Amino acid sequence: MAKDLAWYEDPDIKNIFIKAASNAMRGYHCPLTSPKTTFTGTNSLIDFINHVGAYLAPEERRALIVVDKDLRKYATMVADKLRQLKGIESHVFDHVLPDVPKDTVMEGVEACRAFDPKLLIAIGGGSAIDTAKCILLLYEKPDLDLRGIMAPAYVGLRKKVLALAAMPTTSGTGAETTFIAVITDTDRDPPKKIELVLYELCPDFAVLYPEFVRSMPPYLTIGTGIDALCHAMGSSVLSMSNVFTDMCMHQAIRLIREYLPRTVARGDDMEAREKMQLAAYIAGLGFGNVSGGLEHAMGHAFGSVFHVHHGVCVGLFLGASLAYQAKVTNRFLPLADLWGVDRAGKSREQALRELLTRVFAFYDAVGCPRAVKDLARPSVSRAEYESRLDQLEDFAFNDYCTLSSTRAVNARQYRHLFEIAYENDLDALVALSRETPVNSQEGRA
Amino acid sequence: MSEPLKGLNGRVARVDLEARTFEARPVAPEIYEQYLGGVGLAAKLVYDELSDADYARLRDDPLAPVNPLVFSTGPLTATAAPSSSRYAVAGISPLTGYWGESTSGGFFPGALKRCGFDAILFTGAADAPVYVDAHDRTIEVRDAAPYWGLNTRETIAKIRVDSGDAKARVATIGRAGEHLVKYAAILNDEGRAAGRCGLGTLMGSKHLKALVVHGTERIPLADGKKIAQNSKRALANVHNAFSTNFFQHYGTLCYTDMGMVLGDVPVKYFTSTEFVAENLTGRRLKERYPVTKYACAGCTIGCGRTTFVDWEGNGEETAIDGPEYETVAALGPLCGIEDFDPILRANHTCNLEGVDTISAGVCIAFLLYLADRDLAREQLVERLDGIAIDDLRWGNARVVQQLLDRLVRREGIGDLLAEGVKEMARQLGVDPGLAAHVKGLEIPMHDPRAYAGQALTYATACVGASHEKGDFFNIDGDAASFGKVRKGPRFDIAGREAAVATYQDMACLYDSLVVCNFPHVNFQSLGRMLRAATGFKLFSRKKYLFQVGERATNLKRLISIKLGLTGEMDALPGIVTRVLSTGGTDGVKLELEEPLQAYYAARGWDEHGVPTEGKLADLGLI
Repeated sequence: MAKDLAWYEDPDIKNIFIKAASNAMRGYHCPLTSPKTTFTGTNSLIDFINHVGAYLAPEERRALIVVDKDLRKYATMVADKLRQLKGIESHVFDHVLPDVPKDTVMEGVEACRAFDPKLLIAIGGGSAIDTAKCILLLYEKPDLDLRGIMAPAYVGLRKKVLALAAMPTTSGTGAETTFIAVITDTDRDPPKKIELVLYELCPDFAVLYPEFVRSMPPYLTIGTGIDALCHAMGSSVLSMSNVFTDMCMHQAIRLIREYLPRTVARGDDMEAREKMQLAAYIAGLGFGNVSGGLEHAMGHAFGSVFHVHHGVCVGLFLGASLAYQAKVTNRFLPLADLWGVDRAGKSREQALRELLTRVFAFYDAVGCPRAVKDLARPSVSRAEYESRLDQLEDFAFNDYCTLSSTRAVNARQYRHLFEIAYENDLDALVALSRETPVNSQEGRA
Repeated sequence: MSEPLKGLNGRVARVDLEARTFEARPVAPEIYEQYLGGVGLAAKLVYDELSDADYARLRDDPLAPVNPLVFSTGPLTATAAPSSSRYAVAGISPLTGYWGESTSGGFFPGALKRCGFDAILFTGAADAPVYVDAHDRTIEVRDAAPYWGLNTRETIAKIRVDSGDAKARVATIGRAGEHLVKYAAILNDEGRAAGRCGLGTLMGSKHLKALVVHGTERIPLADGKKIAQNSKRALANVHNAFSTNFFQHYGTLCYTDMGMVLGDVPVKYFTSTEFVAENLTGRRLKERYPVTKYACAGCTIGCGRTTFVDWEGNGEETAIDGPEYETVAALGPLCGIEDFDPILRANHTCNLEGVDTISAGVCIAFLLYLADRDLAREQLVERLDGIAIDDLRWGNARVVQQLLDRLVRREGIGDLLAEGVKEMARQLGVDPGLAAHVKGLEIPMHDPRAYAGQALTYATACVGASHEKGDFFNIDGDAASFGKVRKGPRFDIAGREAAVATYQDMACLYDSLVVCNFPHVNFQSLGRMLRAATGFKLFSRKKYLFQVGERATNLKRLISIKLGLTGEMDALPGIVTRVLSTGGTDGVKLELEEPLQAYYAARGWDEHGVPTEGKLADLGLI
């Protein structure tokens, strides 16, 4: 592996990964990973505590709860119940920060060394759950080179900590069911986000406790809901998807279409909240066993540059992702069916146009910006956007999610997609799925 | 003279089809030491067979009866060496006019070798259809009137019944070979094909319908146990490789979608590389149809397929050979078709009629391209005879099948299609750079823009554009190195031209042994097995072995030069060097002039691509 490069940045690995994403490889190597038990319903937290109470031997009853400072109240509540119900002692590690800096993770590792927990519990959004995954990894295997953490490697975790539990407080990331974690390698100058992909990072338990998402503000509800939608739709069109993940992603789309508008309209609609928790979890099951799509590569790049919520970022590029890949895959057609497009007698292009029309109408309905130009928090002017295109195309091209694209994509093509996404004009998007004329430039005749 | 080598018969048969006689000729051990068998031995036999007058005659007419046709096996054929049930067939290609060769597997190779001959050379032409029956060191030239006009499956079945040997192994031509379609194939066993270079056409020109072999003779090996031991060791590595698993489960079609993303699958006559590949993968095939596996004798990979299709939906299944990746790509996306059903039908036609699927696909796609670009419209309209020019559209599967049916019978426009893409361009008066070939051999389904090493291989391979004479896409595509052949960036071959030459020599070596290159057994193991088979010590030296491959490569070059080949022909046509603006080869501009000169230098050839005297002396060729 080239020095200082994460595995997915290595040109050799990039080349090989195209094969890894192929149909034949998925017929050869396709483990489906999920938590052992997922607790849902209004009693889910108690069910979980009862389960771990039986799971841990008396001398093992120590839990480290990983949380950010804002959500410490949830950690305290869970710690109290663990102690009261099953005599499990807890230590709360509340240093979680966005983007999971490695030095914060190492503080968590130190906390583990001091407390010797047998159970790790993450409470929060993607950052908290990823922090807990990284603490587990580096506590058990401190000498690992993070740049090389890629499936299908197995490193042998859970020798010190017996289980990892994730309790999401948002409904979008799906981190409670994926085996991917993002860490910002603060040892690198400048610090660099690295994707760790390891089956053993999948939590053992997921707890979808509806009370944890009751107070999500609307903006977060929208952003995380659209993130879940992008997991379900963006990953559906990847060649790595399969029967199992299709089942997950298609059901997630149905749930999101029905319940996201309700949770946005009424935050206390707890049935809708619970359904969105399930939708995000199911979408995560699908997406986690496939990969993020082009919209994620572009969204990650855009988020790094303009600091917009991740879910909104990926939502801005879902249209470009679907349309661009539609040239080489029919996987968007079942999605059109799910969105109620009547495809009878219609061309692929018409189906794509109607699908995108309906997705954007949904964005409007839930209050999600359709295109970069529609952003309000913060707004991004065209001039500013265009001045950062070099950076955007570079970040997107070197993103982990680029590797799984069903259609070949390079930095120049990314630039074109970013240009279109400023307005997300329907005609321009649909044109991405068409033939591109051959350049007349000749080589040696 | 050296000691006779074990593992070989030590003799070849020379069959004069005109006189309908044969003679068994001993082969000196030195010949095997220098050329092994397969294509190497065939090159030596052809070189020794042809006089200057013959070359002059063949320059005017490659179908002249003096054109020798050789079926050959090698020292590892039908041994316990991995995937060693292969034979080679060679001669002067009716399609290109230069050296032509092809290899095939199945069960035929062992039965051929066990007839008591390491090779059979046919010369002359019979005045009426014949087939040749080989057994027990004897060859009989027999009347083939009952078989002439039958397709390949019918021929094989009838010969087996008529000969009373249900296990007779038959290599035959179909009606395409009889009609002298320039790229007719030879089919043996259950759909195994020696497809490239039109050697089936050569059979047809000699009125040779089939070669039937019944060999059962045991050929003593120097140390059979050692071959088995080495084979076992080599196979352990083979089975650990995931590529082996791909071949086992999905055949060569495992490549379709990965190739598409890499920009390696040509689409719409090399004008694009993007299509809905998920429809045409090996896995999709198995999802849509019942598919069983086919393995050549002794092969533990079994990359072959048989697909069962119920065309009419009435429960009557037709068994389709394969399909292989090259076939699916050539008769599919290259013609704008993205559905298995019509591709399977076209594939079936090709195998029954005995025609190379790659060349057929390229020729038909060329016609669609011309119509799409409104080129040579008048000439096409004149020849289409009942097919509307507006029906020549990308993806029109009905018309593609119609064109194929005419092609194999040389009817109407089929007569033009049957000539090959180079001659089509000439007859239609269009830019020769639009014809996708090298030296007259149609370009296979690995787009040269995707791998510069493959492009240089096509430009310089001994037969023209063939992926089998150095599958360099596997080197840079797998990010793996193979001995001296080091991987590198796939769009740039500068500095690695010698690796292309070495890899071609390795391919030549495989085809001289003769073994399949799918297991990619390393040469150390092959050398050990070869020594164990023959008892010849030098075969275990890698350097010696590589020189055997290099020697045959140079000899084949000399033969082609005598037939008029020049260095100017070591080039790719403009149609495949155009810069694409999308897909996995977006923006790639192929630059081969400098690499070509570096390649020549690495080979010890002069700037015109002619082997220097020094090189020929090194190789013992002068």
